[in-house]
Amino acid sequence: MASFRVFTSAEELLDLLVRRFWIQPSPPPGLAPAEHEAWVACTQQGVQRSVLHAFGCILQLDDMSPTDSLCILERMKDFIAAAHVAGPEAHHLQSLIEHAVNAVDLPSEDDSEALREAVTDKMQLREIEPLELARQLTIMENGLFRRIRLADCVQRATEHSAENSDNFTRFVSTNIKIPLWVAQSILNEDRSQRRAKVVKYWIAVADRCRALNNFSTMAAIHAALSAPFISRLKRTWTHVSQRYMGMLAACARIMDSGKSFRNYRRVALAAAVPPGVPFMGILLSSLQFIHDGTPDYVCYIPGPNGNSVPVLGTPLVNFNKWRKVCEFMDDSVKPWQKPFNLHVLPPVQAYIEDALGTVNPSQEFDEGLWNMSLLREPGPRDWLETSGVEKA
Amino acid sequence: MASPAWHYVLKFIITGDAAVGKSSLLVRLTDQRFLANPDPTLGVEFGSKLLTLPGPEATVIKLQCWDTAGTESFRSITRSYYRGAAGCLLVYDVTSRRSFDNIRTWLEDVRTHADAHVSCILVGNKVDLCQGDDPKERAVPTELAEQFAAEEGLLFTEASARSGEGVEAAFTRAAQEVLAKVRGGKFDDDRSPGVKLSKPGAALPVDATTRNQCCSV
Repeated sequence: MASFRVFTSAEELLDLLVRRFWIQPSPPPGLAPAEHEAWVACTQQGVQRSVLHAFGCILQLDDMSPTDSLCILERMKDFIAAAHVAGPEAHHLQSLIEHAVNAVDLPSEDDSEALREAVTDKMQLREIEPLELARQLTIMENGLFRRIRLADCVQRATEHSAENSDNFTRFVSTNIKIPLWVAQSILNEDRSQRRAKVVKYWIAVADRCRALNNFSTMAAIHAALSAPFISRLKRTWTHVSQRYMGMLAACARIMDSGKSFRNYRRVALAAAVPPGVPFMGILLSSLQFIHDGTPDYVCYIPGPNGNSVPVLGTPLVNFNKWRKVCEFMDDSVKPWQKPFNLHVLPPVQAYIEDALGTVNPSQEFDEGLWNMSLLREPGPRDWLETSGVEKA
Repeated sequence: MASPAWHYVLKFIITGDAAVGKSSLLVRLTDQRFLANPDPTLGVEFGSKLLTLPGPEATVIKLQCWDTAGTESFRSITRSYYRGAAGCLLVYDVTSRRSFDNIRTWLEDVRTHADAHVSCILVGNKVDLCQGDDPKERAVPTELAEQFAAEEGLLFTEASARSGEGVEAAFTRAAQEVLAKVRGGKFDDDRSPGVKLSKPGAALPVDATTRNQCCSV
């Protein structure tokens, strides 16, 4: 059921189901009127029950976007009213619809603009307690992560899909700004001791994220601190004490890519109890494997002699693939979609949003960070000057 | 299972700084089109392409290209894919000196994490920007990159994902080098996941396309 989007739209599926509901079966000839009635009751009602069941499944899929879901819900409601459906199924459906209508969260405009201006002008990064910043970043990333629906996974795994505006993209486009923000906040300081203080601050935030099972932010901060434009700042790093280097090393161990992220998968993630935010890179890679390794449609099926024979007519939907996608959602995404029991601090959220708004993942921004890094601690301008290639 | 349509599957990775055109090169190779203003690659994407290498006996190879993110967040993901690669495209942008300078760090990454026999080709992308009516200033002279490649034992080419110039040639040259190594016995089939040989004796369908192998379920 979950994979219907692969071959049709929610609206079209609804149309087809409604048409199926009103099916007029043609009975076998030679039935007495009483038999005929009994036959109709059996077949037609059977079909109608399975249609209602299908509606129930769609409602429980929980993967619709707010806009198309409202329209679908309205139509289902009308249908149930028009069909005079009675019985326990109908009641069950109605309560599901009510529930779904209430759960639809239409994007609401944030009206804390004034508050934001008031606080962000005054607040300084290091005035926020590292644990508090870790918590607020966790709330933000957890919120974005919880929006991921099965439909997003299906879309990502579909061949030739234009996959540019799903909830994965929304999550990642925020997440990739974190390292840039971290790097910028360090490079903005002109003295090495002050830069070291910011570095230590971020290590503390990463450490608190780790404790919160927020591997996503932790990985982003670690990525920033190990990026060449920060890691090359030798004078800065001499001011970072062993205690902090130890915390950073703990994060680095988790994010070690060796043996296909064994430390992360088998140790850190396995020991963590939700809620949490997983590292998105690995999730996207898994989806990519499904995408690349399994086709959407099957054009060959196993033949009688163990060879494969071409499918005649339309290729068959490869349900095995969509089962894999559902398993991915159930095993790797859903368990982490629990909310955190943390309190939102609007001023800090506004501060984060503001800070992430000042960075922009682009080549120009990258070059800017590089130039800042070279300005703060000039070394050999670049490796070419020392290698002698330049003279050629 | 349908008969394999290739002799070898070679796993390639494409790395380099953000926005040097890695994804565009891949899309140009696999779809013959230019990807203008793509979103940053998130994590890793794949593309495959069948290439026929000329020679005494034409060899069909399936290039499986892993396009990895250049953004800092996902660099660790990139590293985890090096191990399985037989070939590597190190991409820089000919109009960005920084992207060329950073090739050294990418190369270090490759040398640390990849198979010792991985074939690397240095690709200077976006040469189209330095041609035409309103040329942009070239930041990396061809000779400089050529010399660097020679010193580091890399293949080298310049290319343009926009015009398509040099793109297929880049992949083909790297693939040829990998095949030469395979034939020289440098890649051990069991040990190196980057090279896969199709089943011995399997027939090669004449009208083979990648679609034909999709039916193992």
